[in-house]
Amino acid sequence: MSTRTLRLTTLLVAALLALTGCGSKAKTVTEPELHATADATPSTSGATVVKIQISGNTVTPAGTRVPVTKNAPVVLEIQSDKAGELHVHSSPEQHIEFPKGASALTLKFAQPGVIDVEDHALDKLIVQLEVR
Amino acid sequence: MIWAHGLGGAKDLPVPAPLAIAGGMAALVISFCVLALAWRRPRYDASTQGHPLPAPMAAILESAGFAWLLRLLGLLFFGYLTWALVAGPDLTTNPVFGTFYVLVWVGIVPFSLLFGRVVRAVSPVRTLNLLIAKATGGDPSVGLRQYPARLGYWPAALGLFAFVWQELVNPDGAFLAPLRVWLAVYLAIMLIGAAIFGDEWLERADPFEVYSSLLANLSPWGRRADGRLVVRSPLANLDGLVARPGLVVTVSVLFGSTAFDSYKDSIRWVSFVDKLGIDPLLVNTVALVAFCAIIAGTFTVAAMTTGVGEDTPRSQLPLLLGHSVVPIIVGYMTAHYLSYFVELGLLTVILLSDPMVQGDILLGTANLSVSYFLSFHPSLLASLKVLAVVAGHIVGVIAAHDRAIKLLPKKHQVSGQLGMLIIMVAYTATGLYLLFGT
Repeated sequence: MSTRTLRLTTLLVAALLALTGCGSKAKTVTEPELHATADATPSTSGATVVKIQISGNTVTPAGTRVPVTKNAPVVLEIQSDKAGELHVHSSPEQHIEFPKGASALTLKFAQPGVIDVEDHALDKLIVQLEVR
Repeated sequence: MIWAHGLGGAKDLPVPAPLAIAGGMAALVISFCVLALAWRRPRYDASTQGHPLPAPMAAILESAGFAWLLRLLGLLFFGYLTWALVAGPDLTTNPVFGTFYVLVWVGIVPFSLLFGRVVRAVSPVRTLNLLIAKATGGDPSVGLRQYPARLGYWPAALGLFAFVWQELVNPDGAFLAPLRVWLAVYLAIMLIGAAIFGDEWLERADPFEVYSSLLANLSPWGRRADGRLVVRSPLANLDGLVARPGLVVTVSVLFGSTAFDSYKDSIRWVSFVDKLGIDPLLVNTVALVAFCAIIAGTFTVAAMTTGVGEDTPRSQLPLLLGHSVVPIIVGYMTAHYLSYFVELGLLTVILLSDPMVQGDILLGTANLSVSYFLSFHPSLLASLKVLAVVAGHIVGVIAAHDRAIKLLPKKHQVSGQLGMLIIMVAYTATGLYLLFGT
């Protein structure tokens, strides 16, 4: 009785493995690009400025906490040796491309929380924005 | 948890220091009050306590029709998700990710606390095993051989570790291929094990069922020794948790992994891993094992540092006190996942309406909107989190106290509890520090 059960189970399991086991390679999610105001002036009163340097495999800062006031602009001043993409882990998530050379992105957050900003290509944490 | 692509979102603000300190002090003071002032005779006995349910209600809940209704719902939901898993796109908007990591994993906690052994009732592997047995004329509870009692919860501990590793360490955990492999292996192990050992295997090895059934001991629903379905205090219910080998490791995996999840996103840890220059996958795996091992080790030592009578072997104490970690797990899980469950859980319920991510509206949930109330009220959220950790601690201390006076001889009843008390205060302080420091 149980041998039959076992045989059937094994068959079922084999079928399941065949069905689900060999999945396709994961694709990267492409989300709608966000075009931040490119010509932000860092001197804007009330704005928090974060300077980011990307060269080769290194990013500075590499993980630091920056306090941010909610609804106030945050300016990310990027100096990079290549074009790339930032992942801003806010709710909802934002994926923002930046060009080679100097650029600036202005972001605003209405919702309090801790937001990780990561370099996508290097998969490294750059800064955590503590929005209050 | 941060998902490489998509769902993750913002994390909670750290808990303000004064609140964390107040919580810690409260835990400390209440612990010693329990030790000094609480009852001296065991109070909880799951085999006799509880109010029987009214006969008509018990008849419905215990009817075959109700059981099949729940199984059918479980199977339908499982089928729906398998469709999204197999045919859906590899995007984080595929609801299978949110369902697996948020609705199922975190949802097990509130559902089991409210309704009891929910996974056992809806588990698709249980139903599949039952259907296979029916189709072949067998008995789902009888396998080729008896499940060895000495294995206890060990298979579940391994299964739970496999889950938390997939969730917290595997960088590709939010892609379809690794998730398919994980679930296929899970299904295979569950069904083959059930064919060999009967469905007792699912009671001991299915990580989701074991997790849910452990937490169900803190729900108001229980069964007395006479078989009657009863409603009773969660503390009386907790007394009924059957200590089996592997219990301490099982609760340590649940507890340690939640603590690791808090710690792994801290800047200190992230930059440490970055500087180390070793594969983060390896470093994080080792750290996850270490977190679970530290909990299991400290708990075992603390439970054993007491004088014992002649009829209680010291080595059995960690197992017999293991149930007291369950409320602490609930406190940690609540503190850690409350906003996450509400916000990402709601988002997932919305996404479930469109499993192929092509704009379908299959369920009536597409028009819901996510409530960010908790995130917009960080002081309320922080208070709830500290309250959850401290409440879990208090229930754990009371459960340990009640068990200690049952097990220990009179002269060791107070001094014998000190070790447990100290370790529980240490767990709570660490938990509050993680809420405050990361």
